[in-house]
Amino acid sequence: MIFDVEFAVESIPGILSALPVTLYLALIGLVCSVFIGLFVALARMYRIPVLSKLASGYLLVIRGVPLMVQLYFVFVALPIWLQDIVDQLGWDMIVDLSPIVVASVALVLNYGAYMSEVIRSALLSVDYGQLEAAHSIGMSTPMAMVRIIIPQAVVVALPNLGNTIIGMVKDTSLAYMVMVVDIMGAAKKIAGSGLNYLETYAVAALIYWALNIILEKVFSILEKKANHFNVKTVPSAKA
Amino acid sequence: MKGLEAFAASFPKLISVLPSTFLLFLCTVCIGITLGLVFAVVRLSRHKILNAVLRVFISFERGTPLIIQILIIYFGLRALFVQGFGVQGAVRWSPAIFALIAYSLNLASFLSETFRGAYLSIDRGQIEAAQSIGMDRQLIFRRVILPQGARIALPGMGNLLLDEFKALSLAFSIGLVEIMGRGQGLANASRGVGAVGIYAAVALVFWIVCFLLDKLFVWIEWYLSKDLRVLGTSGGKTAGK
Repeated sequence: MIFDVEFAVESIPGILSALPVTLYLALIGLVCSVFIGLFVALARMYRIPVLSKLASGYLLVIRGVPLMVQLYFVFVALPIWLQDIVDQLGWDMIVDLSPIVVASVALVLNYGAYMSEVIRSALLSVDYGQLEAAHSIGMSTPMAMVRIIIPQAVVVALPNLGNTIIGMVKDTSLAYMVMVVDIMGAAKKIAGSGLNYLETYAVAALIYWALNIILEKVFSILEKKANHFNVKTVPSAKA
Repeated sequence: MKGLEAFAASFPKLISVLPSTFLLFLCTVCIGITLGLVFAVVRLSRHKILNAVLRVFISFERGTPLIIQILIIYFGLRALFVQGFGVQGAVRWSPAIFALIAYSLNLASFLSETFRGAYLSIDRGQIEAAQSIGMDRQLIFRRVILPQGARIALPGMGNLLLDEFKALSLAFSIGLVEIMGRGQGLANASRGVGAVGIYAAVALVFWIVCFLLDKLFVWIEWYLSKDLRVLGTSGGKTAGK
């Protein structure tokens, strides 16, 4: 039999039970990469002496190398490097990283770079005059950022942010390569006993597809809301 | 330093798989662009059934991880040929065949959306104007739509092609020996000794190729926008960036 439908249906609960792991990876990836991205974007925009060079170097390295390679690099290098640090500090400890930590680190390193581009282009899209106006009424730059620039930038960033998050959810599937039992990992494990890889991978694909469709819907609703907000403010700003 | 030695030793071995990797990439790009154009034309046509089928297919290709698509094509096509058509030899087929199919379909799906967007961004008035002077549909496509659409689609296409090249690193999961596959083979052969150096070398090879590809795409964009630079301001060269 080419496709064992019965086996595929039976494997659904088992594969779905790994969904939290995938969501957890995506959430960690999102939160940390937004922080790194914001930091990198601001360092580059304000040309902070050493940091902006470091940030540019980081972007240059990360964006030219596939996530898969980064994942394997972190997988082999991180435990060794951490062990070195622990030994240097003189602690009597053996570093034992769980696969999910390795996968998270790689994902965050990778998406921090992409997120910084999303954030930078959004921040740059806000008219410089707004910052000047904020300064003129006595706001400090950080305050103007939080109150004036970032709220407007978020609206601009939404479409790119949506695409990046959708890409990230898909890329969490690589984590099974370093033995994380996420949706892919569960699919591989369940298939392993009867070699029914096709069935379980098809089920996994459907789950990712559903996740993406939901995310797309959420972002299109958010974008509509944001546009509504734009339409209301633009005429009054012109008047 | 074991890592440094492994880095230096693995570098030439990784370079040696570049020609076959490039060949696979080139085939993927050719099939991907052709199929992407076909998909875009169908999506723009008023054929309801084809349109609906393709919309679901493209949504699937864009909405699922590429690695699953590769695995499904690999296991699915093998099962289909061995059990469905009784071709026992399919088990020994090169993973490159399955990789080529999976990558081409994926690239075509993403490109078709870029092409469709480029087509829709061309002013309707231009097509009407071309019709009014008696051009037929093929001529309009060749002389009016393609030159302008290509220029609009190029930046997006360059990014997609770069992503697709980086995605070649996924194919070692079905046993294809490209850069990543070779690197993993080396790391396994040395039982993990110097693996840090080996994967650093893999990263460097990918980085160099991506850097050069990016430069190539920027140059193509700059080259194709020649007529836009006719007025010849001194900063013309930055137009491509």
